[in-house]
Amino acid sequence: MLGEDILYLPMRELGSRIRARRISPVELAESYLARSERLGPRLNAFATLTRDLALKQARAAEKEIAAGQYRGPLHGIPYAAKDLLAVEGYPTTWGARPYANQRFDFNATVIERLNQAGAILIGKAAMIELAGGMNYRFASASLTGPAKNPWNEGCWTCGSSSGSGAIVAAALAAFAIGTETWGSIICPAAFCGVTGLRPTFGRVSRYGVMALAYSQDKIGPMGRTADDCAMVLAAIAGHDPLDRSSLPPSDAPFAYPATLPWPLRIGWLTNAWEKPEPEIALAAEAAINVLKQKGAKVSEAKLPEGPYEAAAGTIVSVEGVAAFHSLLESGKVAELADPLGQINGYVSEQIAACDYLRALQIRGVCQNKVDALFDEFDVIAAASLPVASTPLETNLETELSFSDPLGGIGNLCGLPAVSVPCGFTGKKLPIGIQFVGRTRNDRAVVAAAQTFQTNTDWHTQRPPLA
Amino acid sequence: MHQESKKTSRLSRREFALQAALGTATAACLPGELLARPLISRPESAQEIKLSPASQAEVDAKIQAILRKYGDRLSEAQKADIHRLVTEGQAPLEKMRAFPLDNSDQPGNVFKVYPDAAASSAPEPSR
Repeated sequence: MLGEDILYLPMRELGSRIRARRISPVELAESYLARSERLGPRLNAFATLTRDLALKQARAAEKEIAAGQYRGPLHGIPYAAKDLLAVEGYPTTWGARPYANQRFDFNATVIERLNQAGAILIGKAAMIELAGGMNYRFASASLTGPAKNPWNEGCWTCGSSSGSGAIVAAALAAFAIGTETWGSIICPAAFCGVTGLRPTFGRVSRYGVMALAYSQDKIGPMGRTADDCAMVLAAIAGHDPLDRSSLPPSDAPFAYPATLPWPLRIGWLTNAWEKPEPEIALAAEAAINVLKQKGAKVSEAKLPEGPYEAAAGTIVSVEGVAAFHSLLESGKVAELADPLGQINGYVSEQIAACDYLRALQIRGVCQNKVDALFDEFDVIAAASLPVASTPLETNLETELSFSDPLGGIGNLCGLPAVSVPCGFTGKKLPIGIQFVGRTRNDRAVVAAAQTFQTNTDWHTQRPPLA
Repeated sequence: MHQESKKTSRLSRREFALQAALGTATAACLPGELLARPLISRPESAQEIKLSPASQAEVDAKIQAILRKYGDRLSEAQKADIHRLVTEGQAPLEKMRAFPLDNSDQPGNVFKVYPDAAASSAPEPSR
């Protein structure tokens, strides 16, 4: 079995060793599987391990590479996919009891694209039930229980890509696929001290993926570095006629590696968080100073003010309850684990069509304002969250509250974003900084994150897992 | 054209809950030592939220609609929770309704007349 030093390597390095035949894809898959079988249940990180499929794919990869048929940087690389992506032959539970036995007889487009790239699926990552589509009050809102943070197993990973965060942080796979409707990639990446890339809306096909909010759902990679995430995005991005919101063929692909823009004009947001914890504010400011020292043109910026969070929340509530209408009508919503999830759909169903349309109009206004902001800046930046990972038993509904205009606007308008680790709290919990770009300018957020990681080593830190 | 609201947005518990539902960035929590002390003080129950008579009537109508349709399957505690959630959800709706919009402000929705549009005239950003 390969040791932890290998399993924590960035995907780029793993790929390089696989290509040079210094690491066997079969041995790598076996090693990640063994580690996942040992640590996965402890962290509630997986919904399902796909051992048979993984070893079949790994053997095929090994044979192809030995024959000189190297497909690219993902060939032979083990990964996990959030359990809302359809994988033929395996359960796809959406993290929820009513769908515990659900199976699809086809693969999601993202799974197909990763198959074509030669990646090895070792498991389906645990998640918050229905990606939080019916709301939730506790970290335990999942068919597989609360996902535990590898940095402190008494704390949460954040959701809804909760298993994906734990898997990458604990080196149970080289990368994982997550999804975000509002914060579900950025938050777990920040809490778990990994890199999470939320692509521009429409760049990655949602075909075969559970819908929560049709006009806000996005799929993206979580990995060790921005470089790794960019390589995964290059493999999974592209137009798909099966997703009505897919960007056209001229815009959807993401070319990488590519020359990244530098120096960047970075807008340091002064109104992203009302009261970030002091040690988080300090870490984020130190991070932006690193980029300043490397030539970035940093100046203060402000997000436009307006009812943008309310609009984003309204859109998600209405689209979410429409997406799960049969669950609500049948009464099976009562089978959800979370007490809030059992009833919130009834509330969302009462939102008037006029209010929903109004939210969509406000989105149009917001898009224009944000676009104007990006005439001045290539990316805008702020701490990923104002707090660090919190205890598993925390009541999310009552025990914290803060405004999140950047998350609201970013997801309302489909902006690309990346969160990278930039420090630790006094309790050794990860802190993240996020970079957000103009739609279709995913390269800029990757450039900011990659430059930061080239000059720091926060992303190389490992949690204290026994 | 529209004018921007000068109000600073702040999440109500309801708004927060909406976002937490989304697996959201706001699904973050206070550190252990602050757990008993929310960052922003807020009404503890729906009764403490002051609504205009029209808003209260709207809230009441929504609650009645829920109870008419689904009351049989709800416990008293769930009904009370629904009452609170509908009440707390009113503020963000009103915030949106107060936002000036014109007839010409088109919704940013997902409808495309050609579902598989094969081309875009917009150039890729240069930076």
